[in-house]
Amino acid sequence: MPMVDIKERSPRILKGALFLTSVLYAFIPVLWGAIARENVTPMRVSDLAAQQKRNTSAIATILGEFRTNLSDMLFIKTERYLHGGVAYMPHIDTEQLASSGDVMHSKHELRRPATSDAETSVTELPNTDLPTTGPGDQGTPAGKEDELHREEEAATLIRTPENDFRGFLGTLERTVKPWRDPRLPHEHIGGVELLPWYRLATLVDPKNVRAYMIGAWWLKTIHDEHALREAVKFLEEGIRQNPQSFQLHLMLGYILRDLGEKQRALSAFEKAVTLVAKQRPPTGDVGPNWTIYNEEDAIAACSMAVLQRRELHEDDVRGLEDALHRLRELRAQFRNMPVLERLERSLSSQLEAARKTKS
Amino acid sequence: MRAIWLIARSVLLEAVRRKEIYAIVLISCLIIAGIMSIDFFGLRGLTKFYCEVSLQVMSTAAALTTIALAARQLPREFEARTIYPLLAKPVSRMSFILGKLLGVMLAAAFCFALFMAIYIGGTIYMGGRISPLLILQYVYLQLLGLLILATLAFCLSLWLNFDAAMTIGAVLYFAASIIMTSISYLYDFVGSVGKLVLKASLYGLPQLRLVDLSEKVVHSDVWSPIPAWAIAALTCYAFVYSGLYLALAYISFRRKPL
Repeated sequence: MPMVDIKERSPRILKGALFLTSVLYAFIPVLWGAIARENVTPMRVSDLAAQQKRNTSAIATILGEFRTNLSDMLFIKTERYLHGGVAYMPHIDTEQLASSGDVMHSKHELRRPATSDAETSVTELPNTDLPTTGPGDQGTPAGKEDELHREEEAATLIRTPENDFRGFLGTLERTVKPWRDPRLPHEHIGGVELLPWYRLATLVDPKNVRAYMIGAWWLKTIHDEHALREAVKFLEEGIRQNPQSFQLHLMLGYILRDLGEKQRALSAFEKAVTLVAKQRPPTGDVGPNWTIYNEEDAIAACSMAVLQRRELHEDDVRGLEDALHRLRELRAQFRNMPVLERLERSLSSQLEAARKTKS
Repeated sequence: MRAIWLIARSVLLEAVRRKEIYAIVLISCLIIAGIMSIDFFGLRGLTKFYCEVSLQVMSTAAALTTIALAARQLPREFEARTIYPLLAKPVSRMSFILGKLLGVMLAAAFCFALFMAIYIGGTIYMGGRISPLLILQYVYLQLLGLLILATLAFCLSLWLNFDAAMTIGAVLYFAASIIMTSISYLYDFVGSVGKLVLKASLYGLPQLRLVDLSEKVVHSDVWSPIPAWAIAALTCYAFVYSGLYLALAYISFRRKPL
């Protein structure tokens, strides 16, 4: 009955519009097929590269904090909090932040000065005489409060005076909003205040491995037993939700090591190695599914599984022998990991020296 | 002057008696308390999250309350026909509108004062840092923003119905940040006509983002209060827009047949 009414009463233009809509509706599957054939960027939170790309796009910059999900909002929050509220164009490499705690630009990959009095980064190996875990990893600090360091220029969201067409409105915005001249060194402030945001992010999306990693890393920087225990609980929750994430096991191992729980730390590192063996491409080649950060973390997992064995023994010679034995197993298992080769040389010479001392 | 005050007082008393403000404050506090009840690793002193969430919830609630209060003042007088006995008295239409506006602003200030008392109490309880001058500047600038929204809602309520006026006011409030950022961002990518349109939008629309000091309040460990000249300039800026909207509201009100 209502259909009859519409047909009788609607003007011709409305009928035309209805017809057009019906035709378009019928073509939706065709359109969808055409779109699907294009190289569409996946929109899943778990796809970190896609998320990084999405969050540095123009539309994301314009929308700011009006984002589709908390995970994306976290991206903005991390940028803002680490810069004392200053809105730079998104540039922090959150994958690097999740991996090592290093606050770095996503494109510039700048490293901190080697002279900085460093707190140990999570991918750094414990002994200074041992090789670093990956290319360019200096084991540098990130959570250190009020650290200033020179970075390549990253534009601010608010225009600079020389580049501003808005006249006095621009001046007012630069005065009212947190703004620093982008040519000045960036001021990185500790990210501990970000912790509630990471907790919230994992509650909303328990598959957000990066939030677990960075959250645990910031907790680790507090250097307090309570915070470390909380980090363990946080990571265990993350592992329950993401059992295949070897980085979470690796991070758990680091924190247990800080807590002095050597055996549990070794188990965590070994679990990480087991998962690496399942996920790493045979030659360790970097690709869309295996990033440079994955490779760095895989190397770190293997190195820590070796070095932690050494710490388990009170006798240095026995510890080194055990570590070397495990290292040789890992070298046979993982191809194209030159760091392990260097580590073997280093441990062998240390073992020789220890034997001489003992005898 | 006395007429303005009497009208303002009646608006304020009505707003307080209707207990809407208390309900809004209570709901906002429940939202904040709900979020803060999540266990953030049992750590104390993580105050920036509290500050950010509280200020966002409070300023949004205060803005929506102000828009709703302002948008309903004039249409309701017409609907209930209470405007006739009022204007039969020696009260000019300008005094009437000014009285209503003052009443709405007093109610908004009352609402915001309640929020600020809760905010400051909460921050002190959590061991956070309070910068009194920055907070004062924040409150003052928020009130300037509410003034713009109230006059805009007055103006819209004389042309449109309550729902439409309320919606447009709310959209302008929520989109304030996006509007300014997108104008700034898009400017380099458009032609000369586009540039002209963007510039016209920049000056044609009140940029409420300019009167929001919340980011500096949240990161008050890094930022100091803004200089007096900026406060003066923002006061002039807000008065220009609210004056314009008030003038438009007055013209519409004068032309409105009773």
